[in-house]
Amino acid sequence: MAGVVVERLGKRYNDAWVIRGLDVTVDDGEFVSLLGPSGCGKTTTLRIIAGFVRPTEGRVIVEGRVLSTPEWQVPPERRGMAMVFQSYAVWPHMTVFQNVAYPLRCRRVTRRELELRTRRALELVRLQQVADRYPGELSGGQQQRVALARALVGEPAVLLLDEPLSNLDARLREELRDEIAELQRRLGFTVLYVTHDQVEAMAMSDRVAVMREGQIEQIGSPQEVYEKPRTPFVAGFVGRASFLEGEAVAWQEGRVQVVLGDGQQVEVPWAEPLRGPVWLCVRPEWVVSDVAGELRGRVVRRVYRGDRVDCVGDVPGGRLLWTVGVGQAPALGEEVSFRIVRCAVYPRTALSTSEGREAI
Amino acid sequence: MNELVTWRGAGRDGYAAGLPVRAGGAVGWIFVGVISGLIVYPSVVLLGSSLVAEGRVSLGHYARALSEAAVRQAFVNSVAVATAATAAGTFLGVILAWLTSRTDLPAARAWHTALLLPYMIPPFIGAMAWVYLLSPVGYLNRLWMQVSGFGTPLAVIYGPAGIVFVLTLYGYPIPYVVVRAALERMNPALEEAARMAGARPLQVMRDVVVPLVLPAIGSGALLLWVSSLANFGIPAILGFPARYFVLPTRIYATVLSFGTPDNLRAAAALSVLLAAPAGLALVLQRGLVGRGGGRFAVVTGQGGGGGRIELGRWRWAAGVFVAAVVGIATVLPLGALLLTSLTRAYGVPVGPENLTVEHYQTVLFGIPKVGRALRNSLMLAAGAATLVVLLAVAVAYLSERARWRAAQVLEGALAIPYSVPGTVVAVALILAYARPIPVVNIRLYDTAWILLAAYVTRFVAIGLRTASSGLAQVHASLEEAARIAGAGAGRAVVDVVVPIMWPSVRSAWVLVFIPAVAELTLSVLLYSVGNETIGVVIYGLHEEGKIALSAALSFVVTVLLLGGHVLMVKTAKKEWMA
Repeated sequence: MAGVVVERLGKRYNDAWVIRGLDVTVDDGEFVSLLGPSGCGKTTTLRIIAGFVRPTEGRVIVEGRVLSTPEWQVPPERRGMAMVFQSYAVWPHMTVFQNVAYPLRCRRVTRRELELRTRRALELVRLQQVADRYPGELSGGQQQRVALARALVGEPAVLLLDEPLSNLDARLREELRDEIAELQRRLGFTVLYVTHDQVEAMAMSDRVAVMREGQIEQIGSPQEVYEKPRTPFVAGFVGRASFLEGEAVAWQEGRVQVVLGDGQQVEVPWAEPLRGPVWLCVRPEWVVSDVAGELRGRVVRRVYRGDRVDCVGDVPGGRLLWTVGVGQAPALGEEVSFRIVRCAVYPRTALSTSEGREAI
Repeated sequence: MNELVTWRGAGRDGYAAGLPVRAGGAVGWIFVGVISGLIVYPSVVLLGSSLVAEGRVSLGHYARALSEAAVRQAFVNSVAVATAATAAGTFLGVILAWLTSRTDLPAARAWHTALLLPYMIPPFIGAMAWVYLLSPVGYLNRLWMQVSGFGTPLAVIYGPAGIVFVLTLYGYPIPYVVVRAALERMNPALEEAARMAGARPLQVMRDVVVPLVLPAIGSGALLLWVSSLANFGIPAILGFPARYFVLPTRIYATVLSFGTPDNLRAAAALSVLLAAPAGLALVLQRGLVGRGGGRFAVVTGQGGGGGRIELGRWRWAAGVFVAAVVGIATVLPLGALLLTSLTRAYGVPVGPENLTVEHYQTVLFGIPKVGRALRNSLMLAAGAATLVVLLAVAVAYLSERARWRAAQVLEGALAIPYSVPGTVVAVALILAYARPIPVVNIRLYDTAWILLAAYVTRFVAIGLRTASSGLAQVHASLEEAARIAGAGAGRAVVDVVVPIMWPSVRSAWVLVFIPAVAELTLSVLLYSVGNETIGVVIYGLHEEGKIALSAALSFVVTVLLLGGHVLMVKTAKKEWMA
């Protein structure tokens, strides 16, 4: 088992830096997700760790062994890692058994051991029945299970997964997601998981690294990232959030007074002193209806979600999303009062006009 | 008229079902006419003629042909020469495809373009250029004798070895293109997965890459074999002087031996003998393609940056190898053409005192036949290209979108003449049109129309392939959107389908025009006085020993063709972004 250390990693294609100054440490047996929108450099990072792409700057160190530098690198086949690809990359000219056995064949294990370990890997992913079929005869979910078995058969120290679920339909995705997480807990290998799907990242990982424009914006446990997003980008990309425009006028003992839009004033909890133009970031469950609430707004949209109702209201400074139980939903156009029990406050500069605001 | 409606049975779920029934019937009849006129009638006449001797049905022509040692020899020669050229050309093509698509070969894209050039040079012009280089007094042989002091030439191009050599040089682009396409289609993640599994680069080649492109290699090899078997120009230029015959040149000699009774029927029998192995090979090839498409269907990824193999210290050696291929296949022959055309006479010492442009003046303005032939070739090629494009777009659309049974049958049938050696097509057309066509009583033979019919027949398959791949790019929903927006079936095609597939339509036109301009195989058998084509004139000048004149004319034509090709590649880039 091994920890992965990525130091000041940078990659430049022609004149464009795809990633720059990226630091991550993944502990032995830890499950870390690289989460971000497409083009943020997460796949490039993974491919550098795999040894397919040579970094322009920085190093990759696994188990104390330097594997990649700008000058030289250990080829992928000698890193003792395994990888699962978005496109499955199951070899169509080999049977399921041959696919899964291939890493062992490259390692020249004995015939008996090859047979035994391949069978065991197929059992792990519940594919014993189709061992002699060709991948073309399997469903997408089964093919990705073949790829998973092929990755696990050699008992890799580090498993890299590059959006392994994004070609599958929703139900299969959930099923395989839980399966991968369960296998990782059972077998204890180190995992680096690239995805753009925050639900996946939250559900599986010990820690989530949110990436943006080639850098890590925040890394932490799913709960940390969700509850204490460090930037508006993270708040908007992970989970749902509304952003209200306001002006912080006073701060005292962990509470800040904010004047929203045209003048309603609210008081919200916030640990750090700050003043001036701000974004107020509010997750739906951080809002409670309260007849005595200081914030008032008119309901402009109601979306029935089965177990709850999403409401969107026009409030000073922006639009607010909150959820209520079925049966307690206010009518469209109704005037409602709220209280914000919790939020994140960010200085509102030209740069921080957050991308995440489209979330509503 | 009524039963034609049922042809559209498969079109029940096709949206062109909205076309008026009457129009459908009329188009159906036109299809029947085209099939019978271009393909069925000549084929039937060809087979029929070969089976009739002295007014009775018999296998006499076959028996007589096979009893002749010369014919048996030509058959053996054909197979031997084609097989040797296929082995060499496939080997070369596969290595080059791998180098340009999978490795960090220096300037890989530029080499790719250069490696395709031999395909644009008419093979018989390539063969003539090699005569200038390696005839007993060719440039390379003279250079060799001067440098080495030996009195004997290095190698003489006439005969089987020379034919195989030149066939290889002008044939390798076929497997090259086919294998390279397969390599590019292959998801790089398949290779990367093998690397992650612990395989070294060479192991990846052996275990993953080669097995996956094997169907493509087989398919490219078979296509090259058929094309080598059918080639007329190269064995005509390099074989006749050594009295070395293959089937296409033997058939040509038989057709021209006017004194011999029943010479055309004998030629028909020989044609069937030539068509048989070619047909067999193509059936095999279809099988391979089918296999490649079925079980080997691969989920394709984004491709792109997928790892190119680093050649390390072999990188420059590989560059030199590719440069040598381009030099031998393109630069040397074109240089020889130019040099010959600018030298006072072929065989005089090369030097500034013997340089002249008079051959260009003579051939372009001094020989009336040449101007006529240029005009004929350009008009025939343009006419054929236009007809082919119209036919191809209609057939591709009606068969693949509207799913008319008649069009589907026609699409299959139109692929046949390109698979059959050109010599065979020419013999079939002579037999079919030498006498007036029954019913309409028109005689095509001795007119330019037979050449037009021949070109259309021969090249329609190229147009169809291009048109149907262009059509595949127009997603059905685009057309459906036009229909929902209120356009009729025809309107949707004109307003949406054709504009989007326009780049393919244009390249289909050029892809037919280019080979038709310098066509030799069909023309040499079908031309008549006044209807010469440029290929026929060049070949004639060469055979008459007017080497410098034919070199000058060849050079002009080759430059035109290469220019046209470059123009097409340049404009083809303006494709629609999906």
